[in-house]
Amino acid sequence: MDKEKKERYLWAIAGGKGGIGKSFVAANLGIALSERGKKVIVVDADLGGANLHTFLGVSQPPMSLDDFIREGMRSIKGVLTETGIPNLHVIAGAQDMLALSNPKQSQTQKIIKHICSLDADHIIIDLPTGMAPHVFDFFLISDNGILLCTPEPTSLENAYQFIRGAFLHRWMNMATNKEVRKLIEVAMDANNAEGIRTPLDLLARVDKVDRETGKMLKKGLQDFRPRLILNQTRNRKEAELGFAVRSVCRKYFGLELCYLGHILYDHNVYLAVQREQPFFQDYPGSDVTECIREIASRISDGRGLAWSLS
Amino acid sequence: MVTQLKSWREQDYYEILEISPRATEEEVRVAYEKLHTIYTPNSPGITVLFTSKEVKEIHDKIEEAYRVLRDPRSQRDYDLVLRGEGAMPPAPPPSATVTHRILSPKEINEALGDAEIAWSGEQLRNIRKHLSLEFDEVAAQTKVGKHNLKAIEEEDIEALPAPVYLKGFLRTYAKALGLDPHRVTEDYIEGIKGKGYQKD
Repeated sequence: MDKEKKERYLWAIAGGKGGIGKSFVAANLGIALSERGKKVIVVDADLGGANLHTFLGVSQPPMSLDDFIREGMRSIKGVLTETGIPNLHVIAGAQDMLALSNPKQSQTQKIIKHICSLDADHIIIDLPTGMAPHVFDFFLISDNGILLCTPEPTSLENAYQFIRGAFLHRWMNMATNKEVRKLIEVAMDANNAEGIRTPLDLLARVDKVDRETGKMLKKGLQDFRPRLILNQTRNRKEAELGFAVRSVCRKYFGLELCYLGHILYDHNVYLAVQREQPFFQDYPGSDVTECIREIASRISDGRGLAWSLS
Repeated sequence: MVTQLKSWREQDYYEILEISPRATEEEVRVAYEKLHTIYTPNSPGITVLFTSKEVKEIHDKIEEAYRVLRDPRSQRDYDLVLRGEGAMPPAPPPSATVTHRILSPKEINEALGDAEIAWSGEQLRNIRKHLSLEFDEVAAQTKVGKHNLKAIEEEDIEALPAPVYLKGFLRTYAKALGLDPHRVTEDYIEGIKGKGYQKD
């Protein structure tokens, strides 16, 4: 029986570190979901460094987000590009647009508003690397942000920093009390002199300043349930790191993180990227493809892994 | 589970073991075994945020939570405490039985000279000997017959039971030795297939 809900889902894929395969995962997850008969749109929000379309075999998209922003188009639908893959469209990012790599909040909000109006079962947004405010704005559009990282310690560290940043960014958007906002600002520096190490430390401090705001901030994060995908794992031990990351999030941040699964390392990914061909078409029966299909199935029916990898 | 925004210092035993209060005995055990392995010194992904002192404290709290929740009587008492209807019960002492020991990769390495191995009968025997356990003792605790344990260690294809039983025995035996039951079963079955084991 198809357990998939008939709602529309927004999945924003982020990663604190560059070169960990974000666009590859966004594109191929899009293909895997479209294979399940779902109408999917992948959006390249990596303003300034856009290349998502090449992972889908589209060499020169006729229109991109650049046209939407610069030409003042009324609807974002005008920049949808067919990929040649059934059920799958792409919105290409703005290329060579350095000015857009740090968009104004009004531009970000305009893009977000229009992305949310798109008609699809799943909308996957490939986010820029890093922790700029607009990246968090995209990540926090819905409660379905997907954090991608690789098993290297530096990538894990970036993932934790990203989660911390997402907390603080959401709270900053919610808080109106000046003193509380100042505290959040202090907390944004991880080595602050006030000794606010974790978002929970911050919450305790906010409670002392304004209990009602503390309650509101806490409530505002109750539905925040980011997902995690580990990419480029080389063995079971590395894949099981996802459970450790999930546990650390529960114990350190008090945050419920959902581990969607891992994607094995495969040199053929590199070759497919070089050829600018969708990996799914070149290697339909590979282990990597299978890993992504499993993740797509978990995304579709809203479940994560328990304590075992399958 | 939902985001509670509580740090591990404030979490109750269920939250510490990352299970629901309605978790089955098996779910409690699996969560404990995984967490026990995760919260060890130098465990990847942990020390980025926790100091080694905190890792040790969390590890101890996991042990304590498991001792309370694996025993139905102390679990019942603990549930009363959570509902504000009882006093905090003392955690039962650590179990003396082999079934509640988990071997660290370091111990496996000491026993076998390697921590990254594919499990076979010989390696199970080496681990059993490393733990100074006799067949009688294991059989009494696991309810797996001595002859089956022996056949498993010797990889005696003729004497091994049908796959459905063998898998169950392997999982039980692996748990008794403090090993990952899933991995042991998978590796072992794969290994004996190459020796002609086909009792489907």
